[in-house]
Amino acid sequence: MRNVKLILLAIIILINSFVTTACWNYREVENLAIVAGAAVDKGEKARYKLTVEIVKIAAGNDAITESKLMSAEGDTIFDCARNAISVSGKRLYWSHNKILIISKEIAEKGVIEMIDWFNRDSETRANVHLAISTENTAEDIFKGKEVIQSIKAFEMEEMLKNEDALSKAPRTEVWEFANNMAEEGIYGCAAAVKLQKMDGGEKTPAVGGTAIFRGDKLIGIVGEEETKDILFAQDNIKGGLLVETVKGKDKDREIPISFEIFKSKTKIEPVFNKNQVKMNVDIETTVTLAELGGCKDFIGKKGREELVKLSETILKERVEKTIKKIQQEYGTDVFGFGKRIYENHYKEWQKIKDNWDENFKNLQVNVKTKIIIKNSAMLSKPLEVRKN
Amino acid sequence: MYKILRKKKLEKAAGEEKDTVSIRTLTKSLEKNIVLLKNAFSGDETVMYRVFQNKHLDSAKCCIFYLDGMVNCEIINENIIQPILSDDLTQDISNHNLLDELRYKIIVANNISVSDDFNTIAAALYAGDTVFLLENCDRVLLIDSKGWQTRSITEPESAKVVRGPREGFTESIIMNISLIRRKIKSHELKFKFREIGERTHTKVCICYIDDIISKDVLKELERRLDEIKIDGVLDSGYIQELIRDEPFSPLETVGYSERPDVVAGRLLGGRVAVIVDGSPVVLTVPFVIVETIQSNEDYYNNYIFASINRLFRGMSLLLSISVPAVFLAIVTYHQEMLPTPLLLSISASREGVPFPTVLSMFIMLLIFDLLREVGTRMPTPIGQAVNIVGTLVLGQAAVEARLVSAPIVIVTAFTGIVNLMNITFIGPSILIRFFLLFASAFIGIYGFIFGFVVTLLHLMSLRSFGVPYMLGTTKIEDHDGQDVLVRAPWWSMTLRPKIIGARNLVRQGPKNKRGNNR
Repeated sequence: MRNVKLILLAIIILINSFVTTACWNYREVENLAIVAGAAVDKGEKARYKLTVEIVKIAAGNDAITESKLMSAEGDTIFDCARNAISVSGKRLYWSHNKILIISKEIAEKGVIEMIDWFNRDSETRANVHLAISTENTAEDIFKGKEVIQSIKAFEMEEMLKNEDALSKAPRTEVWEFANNMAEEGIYGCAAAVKLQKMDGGEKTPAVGGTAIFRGDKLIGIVGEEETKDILFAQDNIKGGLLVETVKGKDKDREIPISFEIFKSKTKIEPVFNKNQVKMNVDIETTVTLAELGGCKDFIGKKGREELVKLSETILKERVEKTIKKIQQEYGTDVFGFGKRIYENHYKEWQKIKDNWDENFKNLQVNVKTKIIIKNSAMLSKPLEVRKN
Repeated sequence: MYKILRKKKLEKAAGEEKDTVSIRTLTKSLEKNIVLLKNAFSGDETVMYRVFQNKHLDSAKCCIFYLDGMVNCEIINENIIQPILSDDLTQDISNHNLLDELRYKIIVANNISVSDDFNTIAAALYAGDTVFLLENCDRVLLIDSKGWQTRSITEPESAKVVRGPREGFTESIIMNISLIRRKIKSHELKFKFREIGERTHTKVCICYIDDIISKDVLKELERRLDEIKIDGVLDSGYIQELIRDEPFSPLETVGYSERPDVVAGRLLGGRVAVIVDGSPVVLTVPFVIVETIQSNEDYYNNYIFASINRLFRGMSLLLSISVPAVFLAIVTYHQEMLPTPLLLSISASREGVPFPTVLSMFIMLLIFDLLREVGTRMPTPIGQAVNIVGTLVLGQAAVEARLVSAPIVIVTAFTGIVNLMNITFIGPSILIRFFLLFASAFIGIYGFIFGFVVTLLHLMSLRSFGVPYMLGTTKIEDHDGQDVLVRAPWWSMTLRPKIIGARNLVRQGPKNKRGNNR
């Protein structure tokens, strides 16, 4: 009898624990409105206008997906997201969101509100890619035409992921940006997206360039080639090409050369001299000679040494130029030089941190480059042209 | 009140039985003895008898009783009747004790015993012996003349191998014992008989290697066998259920096999075998869970290949219970854990399906188990129809008609296939699978983990004849782990598992290490 009572009690407790638990989160997949990408613009009636790209799935055994745009306005981002229910009927499902595009106008006022919700909410992911639209509105990006995939946000995510082999835009995720916002001695940056004309006049979203921030405010956008230099200085190069032209035997004909970057390591070392700080940036890059558009032998020992010396100088000059440009035009330490001092020389950092932004503008940066040519791909000699 | 009535009834019945027994004593008169036996077996027309007499010696008037179909008639004709009928017994026999003279000099049989007890006579008759009565003698000879049809030794259908001996047990206990004896020719191999079943008197044989087994296991097994009170034992399954630990657990705590090589291997591993007459399935105790994923072929094949196969079996054991539950939890609770393309394709396949994922998962799993059961019960010619209906109607048509989504059919099919990999685990896995599915239908992955922990706790609490059920799975630094998820090479398996082979740990001397030709 006592056992029966015990069992009954256990059953009652178990049933209660099932019935009264709060997070009864059962939902069927087909009832989700899967958000692929989001764009934030200034609203007309409320503060923000949130445009989301939703994956519309056609019924069928093959997943036929269509892109569907939907906008809602609200005073906060979460407000917008919830207001979207009245448009879509379904609750937006944010876990598969890939990209957050913010319009220039809003980014210039500060992005902390968007960053916060994406970091805080349990459904959104902190590894959403952050991008700044260079078009008039962020929404415009989603109005472009897709090329391969049917969902533009997924396409843009692929672009950003494959930047590893291109190095023309930084790949910044929301959590990373949030960290950079908070940390001393570094400012965050994000990828820039734009619309690019295709054949036939239609425009398609394209990624390229860096949006430079001070705190959470956008202060400028730099181009694709300069992005590569920034990535070199940040030690964020994972791949990509180094393209240059050198003088050949014929004086009037230049030889284009592409190096494919295999491995790149940048050492950033602050040097203290009395009260002066100098930064030594040592770039060591392993490349292969992927293209040699001429007959001059740059592969033999002598030619190679010449080429290495030449390329090192070219790389050094362009990186120095870009650093100078950032220092003078924006004065924002996107390279994380200050962070390096903070990490490795804490005492000195304490002395200079208060006017680091000013210091950075006049910081002396010595760039040293070293290029190691690993091989010359499948050919061991330059192509020859028969002389008549 | 009822108890008292029943007790009285039992006492009465016992008293009656005593009366009839006391009447059944043999006398000196052959006529009377024949009548006595005829009356005792009246109503059973398979009891045959024949009276005959030697033509030279009148006192050699005899009668044989035997059961039609249980005896070898050639033995009776040529070894019992012929010598007594046609030989000149006056020359051979000095006549002062005719029965013994016949027993020692005339009758040709390998096993003859003398008895005057009616119960012994009856038991011998039912076992296929011939009862030999003689004039002027109140004792009888019980002559071994057993001869009935048995199935020949074939490879068991349920456990075929690519490599290894192809013989399997039959329904005859003596033949089964000989199959084991042929593999282990040691004087330490013991066979102990007993009879279980108040009406069937089924022969049950305990078989073990005396200097390996743990005496405690043997003692416990004998105690449990002695306590069995049942009217009939038709298969070893009866015994299996009556001697097992944890009678309410869905998991088997007694092992079984139809193959002599498997049983011999387990005997060498320190287990005790129980052979039941009439059943081609031999039980082995103690049983641990790793035996579910062990196959006899593991020991005959290259150890690397065997280990890979065993890992597959272990994996499929886990998958067969967890795949539907994990799928359900992720698809209905944790969509963020799915890769985006997969989410899209699952979502597309769910579009327009009326039933919730949970319900269709339950239904499909039930249908699969239904089909499996139908498949086993069906006669082979009809079995094909089941296959066609199962695959076409339930697989293809149901998806096309949007009754279930394709991923659910895939999950069901996958679960079914991995489930069939471990034949002995099919029964328990159904229950565990539905339990886990139920748990994850309520609270997602959290529920699945909860259910899995409960299952694991249950497994950990099980014992088979005092041996932990999860032996060998909890730690790997010991030599116990050598034969669990992988099969170590023979030269390294020098010791037996500690708890089972408690008394004689050394399987082979250290000299044999890594073979002789190293």
